[in-house]
Amino acid sequence: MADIITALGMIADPFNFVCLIFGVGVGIMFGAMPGLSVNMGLALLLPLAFAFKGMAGILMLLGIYCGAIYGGSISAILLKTPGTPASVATTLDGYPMAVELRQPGRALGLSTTASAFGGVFSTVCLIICAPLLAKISLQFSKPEYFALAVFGLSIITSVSSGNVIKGIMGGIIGLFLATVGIDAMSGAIRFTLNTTYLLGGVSFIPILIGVFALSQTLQSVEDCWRKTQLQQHVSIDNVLPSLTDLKCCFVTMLRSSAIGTFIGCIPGTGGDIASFVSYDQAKRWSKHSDNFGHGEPEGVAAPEAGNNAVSGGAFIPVLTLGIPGDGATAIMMGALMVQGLQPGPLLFIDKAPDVYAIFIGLLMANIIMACMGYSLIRLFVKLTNVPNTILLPIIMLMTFVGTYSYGNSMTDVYIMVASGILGYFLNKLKFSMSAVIIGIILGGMAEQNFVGSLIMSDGNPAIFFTRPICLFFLAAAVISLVAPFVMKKKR
Amino acid sequence: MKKLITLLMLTAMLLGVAGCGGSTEKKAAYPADGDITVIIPKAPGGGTDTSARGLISFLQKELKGSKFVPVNKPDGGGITGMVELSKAKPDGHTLGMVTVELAMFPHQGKATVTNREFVSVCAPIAAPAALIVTKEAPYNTLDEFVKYAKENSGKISMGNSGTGAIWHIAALNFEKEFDVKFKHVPYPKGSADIAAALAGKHIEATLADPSVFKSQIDAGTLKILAVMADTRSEFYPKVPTFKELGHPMAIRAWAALVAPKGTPKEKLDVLRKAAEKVCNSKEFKDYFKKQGIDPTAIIGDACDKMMADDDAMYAKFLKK
Amino acid sequence: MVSMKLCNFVVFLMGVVIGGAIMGASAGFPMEITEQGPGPGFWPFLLGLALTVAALVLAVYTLCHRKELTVEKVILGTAANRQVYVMMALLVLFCGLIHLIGFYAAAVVLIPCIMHRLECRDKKLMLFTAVGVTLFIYLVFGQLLHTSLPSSVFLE
Repeated sequence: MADIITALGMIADPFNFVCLIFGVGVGIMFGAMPGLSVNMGLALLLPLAFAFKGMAGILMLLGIYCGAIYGGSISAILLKTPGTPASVATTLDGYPMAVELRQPGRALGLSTTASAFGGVFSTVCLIICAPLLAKISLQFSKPEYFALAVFGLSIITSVSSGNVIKGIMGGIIGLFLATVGIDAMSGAIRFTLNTTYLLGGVSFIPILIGVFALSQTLQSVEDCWRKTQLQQHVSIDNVLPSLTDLKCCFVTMLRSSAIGTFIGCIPGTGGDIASFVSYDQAKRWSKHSDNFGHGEPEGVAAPEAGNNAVSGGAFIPVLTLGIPGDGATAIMMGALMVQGLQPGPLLFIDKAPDVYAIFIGLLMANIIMACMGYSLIRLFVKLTNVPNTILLPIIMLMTFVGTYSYGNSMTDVYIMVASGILGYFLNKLKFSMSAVIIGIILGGMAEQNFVGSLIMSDGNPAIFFTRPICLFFLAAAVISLVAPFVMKKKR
Repeated sequence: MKKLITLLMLTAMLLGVAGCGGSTEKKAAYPADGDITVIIPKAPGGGTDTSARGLISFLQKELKGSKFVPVNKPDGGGITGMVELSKAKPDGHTLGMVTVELAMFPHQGKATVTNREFVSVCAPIAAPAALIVTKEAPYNTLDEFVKYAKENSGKISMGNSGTGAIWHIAALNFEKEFDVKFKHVPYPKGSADIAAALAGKHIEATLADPSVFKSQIDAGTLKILAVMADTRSEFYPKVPTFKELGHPMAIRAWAALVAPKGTPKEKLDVLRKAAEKVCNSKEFKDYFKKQGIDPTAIIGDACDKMMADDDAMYAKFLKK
Repeated sequence: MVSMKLCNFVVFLMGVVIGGAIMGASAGFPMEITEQGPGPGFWPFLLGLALTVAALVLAVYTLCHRKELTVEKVILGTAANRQVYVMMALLVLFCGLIHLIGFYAAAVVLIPCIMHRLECRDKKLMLFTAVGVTLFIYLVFGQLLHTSLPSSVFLE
């Protein structure tokens, strides 16, 4: 008990608190800008974190981490451009709600609420059942990762609002793009067309920015000319979501947060997978599944709760096992170690007050993030009232700047422009860009764990069918794929 | 309209000249006479990146008035960044980090740039391969492990960070030296995944950089049997080196701050002197030790020699 | 105005071609499943095969639904589309311009051009936006984040 009070004292310290707020603010900005990743923000502010004594630096990094996952939804909803890969799923219903239904404030309010809900839920799980979840996460080996990837891929059918066959084709193209480069499982160099650039694989972020931001801007240019885009002067009365919205989304948020926490605690998986799976599950269990893709509130709440729930979940392997779940948690682990906190099984025993400070810090970060989000909604909505003649050139320029900031490479920029142009045409042909992105994100995970599992089993495919967790996800994937067709037949 | 275009073009020209000048003060002496770009051929936040940024911040403090600007160029697996560095103007204002992959890639057909295009300043980290096994394993020393491996040829699953990557090469070297056979299981996402797999008992052993496994080793869930280095690790003073046990193998994942070949000797010496002070200072050592990394102070010519030695070793080993 | 049916057939053809190319390229790598797991060509070959099959399914689907798909139009040739193509050309030119005069200069030129194409004729607004945005990028990305945006090839 005394430890908790000490921890509260640490957070209440004005300097620490200011660092937390600063971190959340920086995080939201980095998250909202496509091309600026959370890892970049953490790496840039790491020296600052080291310079601060005590928990201040850690709290700042926690703020950045939570803020960045939320920040991505802002550009996803307003500009159909995911600021981070974890917000791709938010574009599916967030943007239609903002533009077709002319309710950007509602979308942002839902996203903020869901994000905070997910973050708080996962932190509570972290506090209560971290050791249990850690034990489950240790059961995950290559077959389980493969099954999880397949399950993630199965949602291509639900995000392909145009045409399922084309969605699958897009997904396959994405999976193929993920194979370009040095194959880490065999050492072979595949499909690089003898260029050095492709040796490191197809750059994912430039394609993401091109296919979402640039092609959407080009589409907006067309709509402008067609005068189909009426200049909307949207004003909002209430920043907080309405009670009806909250009531219908509560179960969704709960389910998505659970999914996100679970996926977060498995090392190597992150917000992107969590948001897609949450969206998919929300759609399958919803009474309004037909409305998904057209501004359904559950479609905004689900991915946002899911991706923010990863934040607490990702700390479970860090704090209990000393194993970082992804790049961002690896950076934070380094920061923890420099402060003298050795994450791992001994941490809870040796340094309880600091651990509680991390817990409370995570909770506070999510609450501050929500407060900041709500207070900025009116400002963001005003941005949508900016005339297109100014907004579109700015967005176009920012795609270049964002892409270049990512890897300091003009080749990335060329790829971004090419993807944008290609994306425009593919959107016309009713391809789903989300399907391609899912393929690229999950392609590596799927292939490497497929091959790896067969290495572990000496070439025996039975390994996929004799492990319970693996079977569970494979079965879930099959059900996910088949269910829509069965449902259609019933009707 | 025409006037406006002309005005804009003029502004553009002005901005173009101004925007790329940066902050240059031609009065001060090197290194304070301009920004020093440090190309880091890895993504931000990774191990090499954080170590590089740490080294740079210490160097900046030591060299008064200097400004080091880290630039991440993760394209092409890092090769693009290293190639760009080798082609940069050798005026002391462009430096970069290179990793042990520089010594490996040319012999794997992945790159043409070699250590001969660079002169080194210092290498702050040179993580040795350590033999790490699970707690329940029936072997507690290197010899017991080798004996077990000989009896169970091809059965021990040895985790690595990717086929053809450094820890796999270390394992292959081990196989050759001790005449044993493993089952190599690649974990392309890196050592953290290997740590998770060992903790979950999905693999039995690994030869890798021990810093990621530190929390598990300290907690007793993993055992570290031997280290491929010249001297014992400060974190595990009880663990013998391969050299002591009669097998002088040294496979290290190093990262070095280098300059393109042809950089004037005076400027290089300024950097090397500062690096010597920094790498031997207490704050520098503490910074890395707290993260579980054993810092090294390989400066100047010693660093050049290390890069050349490793290049020769991999040439011999990989060209078979 | 092109019909969706025709577009689908184009997609089908491209799918078969690309799928075939992928299969061909993968065949150059070892593919058998050995004790070391499948070779590097195995998975891409499967993908190429899946793509070809999906393209065939698309062709069948298009044939079955050819009535609706002939009616459904893909809008590619109207005046509005042409504006988009002009914009695409502008962006490509921008890439080249970055090399010539550096990023900041090119940005100052690009913004008014795009605004002009979007029917903005307010010269003051164009200048203000161009300089304002470029300044913002310079301050935030150039100075704060130390991203060195490309400068002119001639000044290297």
